Amino acid sequence: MNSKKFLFTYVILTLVLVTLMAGINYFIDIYGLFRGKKDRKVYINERTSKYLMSYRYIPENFEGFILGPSLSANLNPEQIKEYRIYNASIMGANISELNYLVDNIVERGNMKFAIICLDPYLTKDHGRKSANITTEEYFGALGSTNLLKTYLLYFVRNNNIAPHRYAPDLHNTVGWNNFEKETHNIDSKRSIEEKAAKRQYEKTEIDPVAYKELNTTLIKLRHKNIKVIGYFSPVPYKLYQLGKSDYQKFENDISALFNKSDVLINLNEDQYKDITNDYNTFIDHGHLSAKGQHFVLSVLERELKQLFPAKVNYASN
Amino acid sequence: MLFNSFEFLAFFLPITLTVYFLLNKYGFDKPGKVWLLACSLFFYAWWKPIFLLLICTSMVINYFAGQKLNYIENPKTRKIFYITCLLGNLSVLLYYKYTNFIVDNFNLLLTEDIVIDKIALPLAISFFTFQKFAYITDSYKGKTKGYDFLNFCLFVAFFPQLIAGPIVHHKDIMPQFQDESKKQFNTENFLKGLYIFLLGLIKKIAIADTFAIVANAGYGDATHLSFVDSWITSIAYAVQLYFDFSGYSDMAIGAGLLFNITLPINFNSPYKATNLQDFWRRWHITLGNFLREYIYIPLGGNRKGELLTLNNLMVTFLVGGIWHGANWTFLIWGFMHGFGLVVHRLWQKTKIVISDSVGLLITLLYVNFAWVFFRATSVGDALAVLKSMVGIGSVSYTGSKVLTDIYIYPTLVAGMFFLFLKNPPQLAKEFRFNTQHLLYMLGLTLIGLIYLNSITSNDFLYFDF
Repeated sequence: MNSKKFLFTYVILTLVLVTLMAGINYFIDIYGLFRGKKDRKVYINERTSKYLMSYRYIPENFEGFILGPSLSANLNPEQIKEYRIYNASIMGANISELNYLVDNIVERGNMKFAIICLDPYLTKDHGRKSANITTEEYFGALGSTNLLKTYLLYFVRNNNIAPHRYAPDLHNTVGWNNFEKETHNIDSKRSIEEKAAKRQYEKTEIDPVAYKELNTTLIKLRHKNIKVIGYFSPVPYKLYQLGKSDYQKFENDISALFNKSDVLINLNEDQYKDITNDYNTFIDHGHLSAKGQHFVLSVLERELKQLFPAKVNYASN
Repeated sequence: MLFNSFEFLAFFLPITLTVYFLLNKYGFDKPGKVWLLACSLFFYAWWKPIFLLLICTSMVINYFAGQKLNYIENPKTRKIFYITCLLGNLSVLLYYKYTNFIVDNFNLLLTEDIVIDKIALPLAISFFTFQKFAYITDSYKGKTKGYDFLNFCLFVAFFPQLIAGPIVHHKDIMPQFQDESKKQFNTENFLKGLYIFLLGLIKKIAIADTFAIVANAGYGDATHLSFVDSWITSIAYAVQLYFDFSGYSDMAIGAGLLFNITLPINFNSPYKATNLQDFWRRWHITLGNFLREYIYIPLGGNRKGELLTLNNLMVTFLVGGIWHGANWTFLIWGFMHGFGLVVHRLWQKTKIVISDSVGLLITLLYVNFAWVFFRATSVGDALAVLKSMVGIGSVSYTGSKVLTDIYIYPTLVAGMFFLFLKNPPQLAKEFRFNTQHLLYMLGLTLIGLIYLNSITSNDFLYFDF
């Protein structure tokens, strides 16, 4: 063929291929960005996936959400049956990163409540820790390396190809990250006792910028009439006692941001000692085991039932 | 503006190209050139508009100074004027690039405490200063008489080569802007240019940026690398730098060809070199040519005896080192290459022949060791990496902490493989208007689009120089 025919064919085929690629990805819509309500799960890259789901999937399908770092990421909201809750927590995320999700959710949805896991990890630093939460990823959902990776992991998980490393049911459609399935050989008793022997406990210092950002988040939620429910995540009793004054200072400082219309629960109070002093509540030095998750979710469920006695009706469900 | 950015590919390049050829098509040659110049300056100003003033002032002064230099008849006046011009250009470069370095070392040496603000380095200053050195030097020799002002400005500012080369010579480029046959859209050049551009784009965004993940992780923790990680880190950077810089050069050459302008080849599979001299014939070729023509040869080259030849080699590479950046690490890198070339030259005298494969391995290892200084942010960091590489001190021999993302493994393997395949200029020679190449181009376009639409892209490494 001559150069002109070559150029013409190239341009036409490029347009066709690009349209096809974008069209297929639009149709698959793995993050629920384009085609409305459908069950969606995280397969890899929790940060980007949940961020993209915050555009439509979360606001259009849920009435409440949980926000926090890994300490709350493995809470399964399905346990609270009366309410449709999405767990928007992200492993390793701070309040700055979670705010990107909050902005989308409150702007596009009609949320009734927000549950915030108040662990020191949330406010120990500020700013984006990676480039995974960015508006550019929106168009990345039409074709990008992250999307290809997501397809690959969709295939691997759904076909149970490497269950030890890529558990098929690691995530569910309500944002539960059951990372215990991929976290092997952790002994909570040994982990907690080793920390206690070394007199180590979580850093509880609050980053001033993160503190302000948390305050802004709370104001934003209240402004949209979203009920704020904050809870101080359970800390292994031994470690809490070790750093009691630091933990209490953290709790006092954070509590100052909450006002009377909010709900604030401290799961490290003495009334919960039996739970926090039980090694089986945790899978390591702080993350919750199935038993711990059940405990936290039960407390939250009780609170929700008091706040919203009747089940909320969904026009679209 | 980056070649691999959406604004460049979707707006800047198509608009510049279309208007340029439309103006030429309807006989508006001069407005066409003015348009191309304006677009090139806009391309430069995209980063920091304030430095537009610097490049424009420098361009105008150098043009008129060069033209005047051509016609000064008194040799003494001519020489004084020439040196003044060189010093003028040098002082601008010194101010922007080396002031902080000089003050820091002055403080260190004399335990003074002079504090000055960090001076922002204007983009591409090292590159366009080099071009002007060449122009002024050739004007001193009377070789640039009658150069057209607009063509000169285009030669300096032509956007494909403006930021990071290839370092073009006025005698290669200016005639092309005067050539009538190059003013009309040429489908063959366009397609060939696009093919080279796409190859360069993939080298940069798919391969170099993937190796960057490993190299950055390693150099980010340079003092705690295990034996294995120090090797992985150093090799990752060597590969990253090649694909990054040669990818940029390919894109520049490709973009130039879209406008029917042929830019010189800058890389010729350098890691296939069988000795250090061969390496410098393949790596950053246009820089090597400039250093040879304007430093090594004026110093006497190899014409003044063996000892002076070795000295000239060393001085040339020390200049090359410091040209790259104001840091002792670059000076050491330049020294290592100068020293390596001296040893190579002496070795040649022994007439002992080593096989190509052994030569290739020695060259690769030596170049890789030298890159550690090029990349590390301090001499201390570089020494820490090198110590781990040779197993000196308390080096751990545990597994890798820099190779954590298994999803990048296929690209890493492919990158290592591509190092030893044909390079884009060679592939471009084989380009034909057939189905096979049509499929190649479609594949490259799709891969390019997917990577462009991802969030992995970094700036080009040579923008720092």
